[in-house]
Amino acid sequence: MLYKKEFFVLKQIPPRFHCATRGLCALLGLALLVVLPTRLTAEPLRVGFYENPPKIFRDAEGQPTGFWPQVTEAILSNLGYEFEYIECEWEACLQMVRQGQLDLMPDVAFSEEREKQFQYINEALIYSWSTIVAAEGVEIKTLADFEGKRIAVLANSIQERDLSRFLREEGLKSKLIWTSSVQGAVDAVMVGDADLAITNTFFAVRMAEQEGLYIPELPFQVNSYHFIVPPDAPRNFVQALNLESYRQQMTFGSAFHSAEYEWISFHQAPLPPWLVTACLFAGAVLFVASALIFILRRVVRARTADLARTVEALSSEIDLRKKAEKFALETQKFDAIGRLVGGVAHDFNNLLSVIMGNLELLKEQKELDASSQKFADQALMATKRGAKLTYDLLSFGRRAQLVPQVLRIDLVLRGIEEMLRRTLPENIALEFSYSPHLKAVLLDQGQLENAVLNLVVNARDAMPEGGRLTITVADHGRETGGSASPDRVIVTVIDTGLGIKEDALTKVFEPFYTTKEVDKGSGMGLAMVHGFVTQSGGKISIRSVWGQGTTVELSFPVTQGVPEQIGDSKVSTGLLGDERILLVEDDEDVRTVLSQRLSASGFLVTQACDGAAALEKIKAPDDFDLVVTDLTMPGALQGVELVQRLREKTGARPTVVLTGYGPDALGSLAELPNCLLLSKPVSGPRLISKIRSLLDS
Amino acid sequence: MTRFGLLTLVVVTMMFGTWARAQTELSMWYHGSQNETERALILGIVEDFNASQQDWKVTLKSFPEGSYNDAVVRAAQTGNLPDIIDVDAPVVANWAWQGYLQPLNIDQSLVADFLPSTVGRWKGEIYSVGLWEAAVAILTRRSTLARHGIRLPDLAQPWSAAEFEEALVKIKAGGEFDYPLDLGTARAGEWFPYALSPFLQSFGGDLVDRSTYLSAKGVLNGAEALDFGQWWQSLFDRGLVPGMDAPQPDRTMGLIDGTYAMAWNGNWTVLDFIAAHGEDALFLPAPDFGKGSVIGAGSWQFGVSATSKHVAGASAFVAFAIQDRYLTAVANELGLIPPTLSAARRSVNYGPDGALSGFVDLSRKQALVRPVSPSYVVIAKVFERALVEIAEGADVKQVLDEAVWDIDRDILRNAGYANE
Repeated sequence: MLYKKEFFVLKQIPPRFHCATRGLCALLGLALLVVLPTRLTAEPLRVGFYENPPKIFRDAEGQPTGFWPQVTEAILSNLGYEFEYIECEWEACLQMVRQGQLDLMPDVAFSEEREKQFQYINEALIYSWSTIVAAEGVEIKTLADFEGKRIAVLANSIQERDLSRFLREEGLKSKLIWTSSVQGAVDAVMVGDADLAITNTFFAVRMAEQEGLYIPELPFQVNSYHFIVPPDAPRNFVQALNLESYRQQMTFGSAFHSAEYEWISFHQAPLPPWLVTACLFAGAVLFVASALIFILRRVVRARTADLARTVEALSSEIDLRKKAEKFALETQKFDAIGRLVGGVAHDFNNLLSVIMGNLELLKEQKELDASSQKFADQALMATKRGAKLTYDLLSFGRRAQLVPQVLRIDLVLRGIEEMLRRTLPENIALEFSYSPHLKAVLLDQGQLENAVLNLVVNARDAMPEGGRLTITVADHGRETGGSASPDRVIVTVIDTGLGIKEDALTKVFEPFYTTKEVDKGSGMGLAMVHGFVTQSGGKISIRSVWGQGTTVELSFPVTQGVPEQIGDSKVSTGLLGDERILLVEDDEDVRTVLSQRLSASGFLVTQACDGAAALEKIKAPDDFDLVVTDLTMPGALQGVELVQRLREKTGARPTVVLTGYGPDALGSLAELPNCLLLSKPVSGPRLISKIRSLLDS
Repeated sequence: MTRFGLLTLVVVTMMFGTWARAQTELSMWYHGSQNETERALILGIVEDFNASQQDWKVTLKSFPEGSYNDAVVRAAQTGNLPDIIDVDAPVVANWAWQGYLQPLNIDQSLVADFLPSTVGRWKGEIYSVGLWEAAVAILTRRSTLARHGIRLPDLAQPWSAAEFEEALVKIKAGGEFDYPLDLGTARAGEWFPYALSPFLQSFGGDLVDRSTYLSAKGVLNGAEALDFGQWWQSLFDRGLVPGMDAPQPDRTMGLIDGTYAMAWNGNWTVLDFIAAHGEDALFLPAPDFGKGSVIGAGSWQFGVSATSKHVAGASAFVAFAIQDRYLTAVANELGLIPPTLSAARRSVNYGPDGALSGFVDLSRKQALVRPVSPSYVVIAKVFERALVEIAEGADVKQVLDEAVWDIDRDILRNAGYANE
């Protein structure tokens, strides 16, 4: 039985020389090429040339082309040989080689007969075989399976010749179905006239695929094609050709591979029409799909970009809204706290007013002994501290009674520099920095001083180990080199203390929030500052890095007014009077204390418990020289309206408005001439001093 | 004329001359180039043609290794056919049908006097023309016939089937020769339809029904064909001819040295036979088995490939090559029969006094061209197998019926070759 592998061996040239490995062969070959300067002759090698396209032929310009000329050129050039083609016909070529008239002849199929006449170059450069095409159900595993089969083959073809010889040599009985065309062999299988066909490999694959037949993995009649040289050619010449042929086949991208691809590979076989159609269709689909994908990607990219922008905008809006909500929440919280503490402070002020008034009256008793006098002083001092606390609460709630005036902050701070220095220990260096020609602002001087003092005290407490405290006052814009006219004045208090942790920064302006130890602070310092700045139309910000220090920045709008003379605001307590004063106060205790205090100073006081009662007591505009009234009282008539009604009936007599809430009516009352607002509790001397000033003005 | 003017004239003249001499190259494949004499002869014609005109230059190229037909098929499939192809006469129809050839562009009058077998026709068009004709005859020796009392036949009165049978039997009985007759059955391939099918046709059968070319039924397996088959088988059964597997390294020598009393062989061997036996050498017309004496006819011819862009040039070469002087030269050099009477008369061997002049009449009176059909290549193979199987003892009717089936199936698979 003859098997596929055996058949290959049968038709291939036996190796002429043996190497342990092919790699060793290659090395030996390179060495041989180096030591092989000898050539057969000084004349160019004579290479036989005949026509057998596409393997070897002349192109339209008459130049040798095809597989063999390309490979021959490469091999001989690499070996350093010049050569020329000798035109001859096939049999004549072989004869010329036999007689030594040609040095080399390509494209010679190996046969045992020829091996006796020529020297073969071992490396076959082309293999060819015929292809078996079988009908479905016909099993062809070995060539022995040809037995009894009907085999279609082109009449007078090389396949017929080889098949006949094979069958004869192997003693197989098969019936040949001759056909008049290559296609006819496949047709015979198709219609059942033949079991299989043997045909040209070049066309077999295409036709078999078109007809739905199958090709057994069994080549038929494998032939190897070689160079041959004359029988007496030098051995080293043959070996050089052997090795260069081998190198050509083993080298990627060599001339051999290029020629094989260009001339021998099946890629040049024309594609079947259905495959061409399918490829075109697939190509068209691919093109359309690509175009759609391209367009879709562009659309998706644009939509994605839009979406990203929308998301970004939405995210910004959400952030903005969160900030707004947070701000609103903070505002509501501060407003709520402000209203709470304002209300508490109002009632508390009334209590303090009673206590303070009575204590002042008590001190004026001549029979009071020294001990009692001391007790009264201590009680009065505590009352003032309470009044300070309630004032801070009112400041936080932006309800403190402010007396804004046009001033320059640098001048105000220069006035309290010494006092601030005394507040600090020696290990804290205090530096002031004032920009020249600072703009004026509209502020309550006392509250400004109080705010700065609070910030300095906080800084001091943040620097237990000492440090540096810097207070700067600068115009906004000028300090940054801007050309525009400054619209704000910035007060910056910078310390190098412990700093404030990030989570605490959001709470520092809340009342009674403190990081200090118990009894070290009320927690109202920054709350008061926040209330004062906000109430004054300014802004406050705080930056702090834990372990490095804190910076508090107060920003106030510039005013166009001319600064008033900054002087000591202390009141004169020696002034007395005899003018007629209408005192309107709903709280009987407060009203009694105030009445006694005013009376003690010589004023003629008429009391009224509410607005309506007060209006009834005014019969003529000149019945009273001055009105002292609470702002918030029970009854229909109170507040701004009461003040306005009183001034109408008194002919715009001087008016002192007392309030526990402070600034509620400040906006409208501040514009009235001879009208002064004072926050409760107010000390007797301060009240008398203000009344005296109004009456005197 | 100034010196400059003269120089200009010379240059222009040279340029024109160069252009005028430019020839379009025509490639040509020729199957018989292994024969040195034949090759030299064809090369001479080519060189004469190239020198005779300024438009075309034929370059003779050798054909690839292996089968010439296979090389042509491969070249045709890959679009590498030459301009001029050498083609075997009975294959012309097949190659024309397959599109390898295109009609020649020559005047029909040029081939009017040619033997029919030397002009390749298909569908009314001339596709090829050959330079020679090959005929077959019975070669024997006058002395042999005389010794066995056998009548000397001639064209007017060839042997009948009975006479031929008697002659064979007599010679066989004489025991002087290994075989009374050598039919050349060791030659496979085209020899069978070319040389042996004429016996079938003389019996009254044929390879295919030539009236339609659609079937072999009735002509290849009819009564006459069966008679032929029986006769054919009997030749081997009775040892009148060498067996199919008998080696025949040199048939002519076998005839000369007396291995065979008679040989059914071609005119190309006759000169050697004559040279050996002189006046004793005879070539005789084919026997008449009932429907007249028939011999084969054949030649190789020049055609123009279907892919040639220069049909005019290729046709011009063919027209040039079929001049009588070349036909005569081929006859003189190769011993082949000239296609035209005029060329034959001028030839050494086929002229009035030539040793082979009888072959001219044989060809003209007995030659029958093989079926002109694309299916011929299949018919020839099927017929060859049938003869081999019958010679080996197979049932004649069964073999011929199967042969008919094979031929008819081929015609059927190709839709009668009618659409091409």
